[in-house]
Amino acid sequence: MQPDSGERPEPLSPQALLASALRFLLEPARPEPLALFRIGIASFELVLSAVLWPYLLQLYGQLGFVQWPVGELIIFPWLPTTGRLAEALEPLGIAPAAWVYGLYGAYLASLVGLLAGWKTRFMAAVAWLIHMTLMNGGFFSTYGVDLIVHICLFYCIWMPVGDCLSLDRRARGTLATPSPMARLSIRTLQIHLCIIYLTAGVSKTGGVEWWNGEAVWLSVMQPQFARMDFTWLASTPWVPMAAGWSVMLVELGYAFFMWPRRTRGVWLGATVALHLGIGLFLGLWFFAAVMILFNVCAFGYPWLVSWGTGAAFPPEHAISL
Amino acid sequence: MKKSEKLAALAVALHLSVVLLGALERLPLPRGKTGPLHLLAAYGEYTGASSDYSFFSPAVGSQVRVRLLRTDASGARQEIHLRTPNREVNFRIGSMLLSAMKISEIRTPMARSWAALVLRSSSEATKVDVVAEFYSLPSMAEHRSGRRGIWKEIYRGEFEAVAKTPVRP
Repeated sequence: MQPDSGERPEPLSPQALLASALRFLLEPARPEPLALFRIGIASFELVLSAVLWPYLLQLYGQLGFVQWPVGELIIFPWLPTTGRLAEALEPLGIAPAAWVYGLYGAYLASLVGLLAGWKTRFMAAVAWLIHMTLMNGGFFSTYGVDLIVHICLFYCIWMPVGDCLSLDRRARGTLATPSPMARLSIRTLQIHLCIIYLTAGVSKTGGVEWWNGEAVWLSVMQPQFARMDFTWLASTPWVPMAAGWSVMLVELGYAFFMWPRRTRGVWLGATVALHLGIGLFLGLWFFAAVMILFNVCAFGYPWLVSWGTGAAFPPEHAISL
Repeated sequence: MKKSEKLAALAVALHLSVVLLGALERLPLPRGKTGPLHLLAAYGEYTGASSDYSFFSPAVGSQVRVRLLRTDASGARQEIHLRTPNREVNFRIGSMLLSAMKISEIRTPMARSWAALVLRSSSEATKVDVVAEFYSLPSMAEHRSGRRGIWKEIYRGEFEAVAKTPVRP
């Protein structure tokens, strides 16, 4: 990018660095990866909701696994929870169970709207708010998958996720064009993922269990995760040790090797393999799926396009730092 | 490049800074009842930016299970496990049990919640003992020498039917 003054700054001057940073963040990009992100997250949550539906009252109800007042003991008072909203609506005479089903019904409706890209930002905002309310209400029974979905729904509010493959786009009757906001959004997803993997990797290096393979052993041998008999690992400790080192390598290297074009494919493949392994060996398929989706939308869209069309890696997605 | 786009880029940079601090568990916690740190905490919670991502690290936590021992008026006892046929729901129950046992001040209120589930489902139940156990798994070397995983008790609470439903009035 040329500076506004017309003078070419020194390569490492603050002006040049700022110009590079702005180009990195704002060079127009096509919105298709963001549409995939929207469709993927909405579809994912609809499937997860179908799985959880029979247990809705146990997970989020007033007298479920955790009664509302107990669950709220460690939730900040300024956060919405299912119980607090129910209390506020008590004068309307809505029964707690009906309130939970009504709230969840509104959540599903907003997800369908988000999936279709109809009033996209509004639907994303509704889905995000209800998801957070439910998550806080059933705080103790949430785990990583809910956290990632919460983040993704927040991004769906302000990112141009409805700029293509949406009813909103069809209503406007125009074609989607590259935009700076699409680039900024994709960069946000990419940098967020780098932070996730780098901090997760650094955290693992602090525990001796990840270096000697015990972490892998302890994970696959826990009754809740056990999918098959892994007792043979105790006789071949180099296998879990190699697996532990591989996990740390993939996570620590993510922030560095996902950016250059030459290494991105390999690292994306390794990251997807890591999550498939989590699904296959620990049964955490929903967590694996949402992380693969996040990765593919942030970094993998060009490969999807090239596989689908047989075209070469689109040059606009190549990154040089 | 429009000014609004540059401002959006600045906002994203600030947001990702909060994400980084949250991931490093370096976000300052709010003190008192109000103040700017409450705003930062609220931003982090509402956007998810204050999350940390130390899944399975630095160490892998032990699994916790809960056994609910129901006693009825005749003295007959029945053991109930807090589990469902749904694997995804069981992960969530596992997460809940682990959190409950980690935070000492919520252990008993949580146990009371679980006891209430049983007491509500049966009018004949007079008492429920809540027994939480963690799975003590041997290391690979210990496993080779013959040691096997066992459940060890970490919490036991007794709840009578008279305190049936401590729910919001």
